[in-house]
Amino acid sequence: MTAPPAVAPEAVADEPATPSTTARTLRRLRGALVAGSLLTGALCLVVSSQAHGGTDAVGGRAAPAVLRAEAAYGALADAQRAAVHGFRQGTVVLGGLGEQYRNDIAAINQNLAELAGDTVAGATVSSDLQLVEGLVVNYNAELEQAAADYRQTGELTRALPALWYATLQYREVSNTLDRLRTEENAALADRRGSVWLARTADLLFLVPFALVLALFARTQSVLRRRFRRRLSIRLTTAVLALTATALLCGLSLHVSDGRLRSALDGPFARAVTLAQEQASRSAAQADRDLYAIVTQACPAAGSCGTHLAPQASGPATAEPGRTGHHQAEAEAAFTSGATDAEAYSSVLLALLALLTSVAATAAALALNPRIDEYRFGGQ
Amino acid sequence: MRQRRQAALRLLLVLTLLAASAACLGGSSGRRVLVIMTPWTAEAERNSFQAVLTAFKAETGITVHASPTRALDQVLRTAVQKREAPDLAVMANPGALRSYAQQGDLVRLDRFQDRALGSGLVDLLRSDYGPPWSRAGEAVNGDPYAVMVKASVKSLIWYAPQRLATRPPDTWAGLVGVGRSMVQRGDTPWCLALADPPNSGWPGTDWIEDILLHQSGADIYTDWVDGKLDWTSPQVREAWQAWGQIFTAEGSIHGGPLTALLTGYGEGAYPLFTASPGCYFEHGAPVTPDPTAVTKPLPGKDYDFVPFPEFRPTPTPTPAYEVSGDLVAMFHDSPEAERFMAFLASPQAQQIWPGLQPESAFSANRAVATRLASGHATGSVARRIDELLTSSAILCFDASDSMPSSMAAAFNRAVLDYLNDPTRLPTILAGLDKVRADAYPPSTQSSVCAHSSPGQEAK
Repeated sequence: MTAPPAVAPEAVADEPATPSTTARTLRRLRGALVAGSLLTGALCLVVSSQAHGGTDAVGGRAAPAVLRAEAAYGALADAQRAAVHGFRQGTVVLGGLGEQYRNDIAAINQNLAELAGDTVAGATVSSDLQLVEGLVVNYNAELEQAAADYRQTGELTRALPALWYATLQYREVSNTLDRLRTEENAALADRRGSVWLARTADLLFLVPFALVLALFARTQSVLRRRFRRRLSIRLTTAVLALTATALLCGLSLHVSDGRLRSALDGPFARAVTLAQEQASRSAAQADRDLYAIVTQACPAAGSCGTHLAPQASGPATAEPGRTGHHQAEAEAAFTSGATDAEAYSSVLLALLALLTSVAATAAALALNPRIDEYRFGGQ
Repeated sequence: MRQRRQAALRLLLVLTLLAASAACLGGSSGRRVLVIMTPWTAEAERNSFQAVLTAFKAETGITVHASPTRALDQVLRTAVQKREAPDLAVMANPGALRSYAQQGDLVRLDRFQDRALGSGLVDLLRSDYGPPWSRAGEAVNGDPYAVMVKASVKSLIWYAPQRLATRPPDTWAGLVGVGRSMVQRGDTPWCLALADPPNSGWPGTDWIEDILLHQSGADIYTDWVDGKLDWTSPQVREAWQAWGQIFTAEGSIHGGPLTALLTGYGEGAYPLFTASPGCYFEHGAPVTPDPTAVTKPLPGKDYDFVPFPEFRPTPTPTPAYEVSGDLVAMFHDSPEAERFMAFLASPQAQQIWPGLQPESAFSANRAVATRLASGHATGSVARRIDELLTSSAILCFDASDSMPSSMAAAFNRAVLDYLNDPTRLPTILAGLDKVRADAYPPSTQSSVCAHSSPGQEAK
């Protein structure tokens, strides 16, 4: 950019007519513009970082915590289904509780561990997680006892008490996991709501932005009146960079929200529904098998104090593999969406920092030639 | 003009800072909340304990959050191992209390930060609570660690007065005879329910403990609890056989042994109140009628109790009763937790729970129990149990609760095995002796039995 020929500064009516005063005014304007640009940019960075943090809290923790709670719940139901089926079929005598059961128990523990890391639901979750861990140990111990009783006696009736105690434990674990699911879902909804609330407050960054723009206009006015410069390219560059910063800031709020919302309302919701459907099918199948065992053991007395009732024959659990595949796909799609939203936020932060630097530098350079005029000849 | 510009700059700075603050605002505020782990998951018990916590908050402003779990022992052990113990916890039993105290996990009551509060609490426990209760809260070298939050009596036989021509006999032989007569005429004398995972079987252990106490006396009972008496000894074997005499006979328990094994212990007494009686007697702590029943059975009218029968034809001068209670101990010392422990032992707190559940919860504080007894109608169920707790009887703390945890678990399991197959008794008892060899720490010395009032030591 070529500096236009120097024009002799004119006295401004409302300013003292001394060159040194004008130079001081220009220096002050320069300082205010640079500081204002940096502050506005810094605020945009803070706002965008918060948007990034909010996206991370929802997409990276709260929503995965819900998925882990659903997965633990589903694995428990499937463990019960596999175990009771093994007793009804008699495979427990030689094969023990089976590989499927052991995989399910491992999956429960794995999901609980991940849930403990992801949860944003507060202190009560910690005690519930401890409770579930303890109950799962008891549940497993009762089932192992039932399997040992069956092996020792070869009679399913002799294994029934421990199998029933395991079922009572299963119900308690199930209830606790259900409570955990509810807490995690509530925490997710809360986080989504608070992200929106925070973003409304974030719009306050527009206030300093507007003031800095006004300051730029005032500076341009001073340049036009005193130095007859209709347009300073550097000043215009600074204004454009600052405006781009503000626009990007607003855009970041909008885009990260949109990406996260589509990930949550699409694949996330599908993964949760699939997990719940599979858990319901497994639980119903386990109840049917258990009822058959109890009625076989105590035909005269009915349910032998268990209050088990005949189960309506629901859809078979024939497709756990297929459902599991769809569920895994939905989870992967959600994770990908959440990761995209996060990656977008990171790129945006870098761009914001760059634009802020450009705005501040251009603002600093814009007034230098005019100030220099006073330095070298104005006196 | 210059002043206006400076003002504008200042305004810009202030607004920027305000906006930044609005964006960055966050943080938390909160005062300390105590967490106590409890085994009370049933609605009535949960509400009663909550009433105690509410009274504490009203007095001190300190919030105590109850975290109930049926798997208290397991959950608490896991939490302690992870160094995530709650501030306070109800101990599964005195055996668990001793175990935690030996590991150094608990805070001694006489080592409170507030020394005056701690020594006052210990003095109160020793003066107002009878020896069996204060000793149940002691561990290691007789150091005080816990407060008894509520008490119960187990040596009771419950029945429905309107369905029996006469009061149940006060001798064992008479009770067995009545049961046989009922079976012969096609009735079922006994209710029994043993399911309560992960401690299924404990109602059966209460039976055997009560039989041993009344058959062989408090000294033998204490030796057995301390692991000094073989499970295969004649006294213990006879206690098992006496229980088997009642329950292994065809038609003697409601629904048969399998139903007893599968029915939740809380529902054990329900058949007492059905239109056509499912059974006539139940043993143990105060019964719980079916909460869904159309008409709520009335204590004293629809159900009543007699003390556990004597084995000798002539009554013993000093009767003995098996009792139990719930102990609260402190894992993390804090001024708030110390105040809560002191509050729990106070007469004010001790009367809250019995006030809400007068027929099933009692205070171990003698002064409170005496005052509560005088408030109940003469001859009422609640009054007679309060009087029993404050009498000069020997009170023996629940044996399995006082044994080491592994011994108690094996005892529970043995009861289930025995009911499943009574012919296995010799094998079961031999197995229990093997567990005993490993379960007890060296030089175990408990004082599970004592006179209910201070100064009348039984042993």
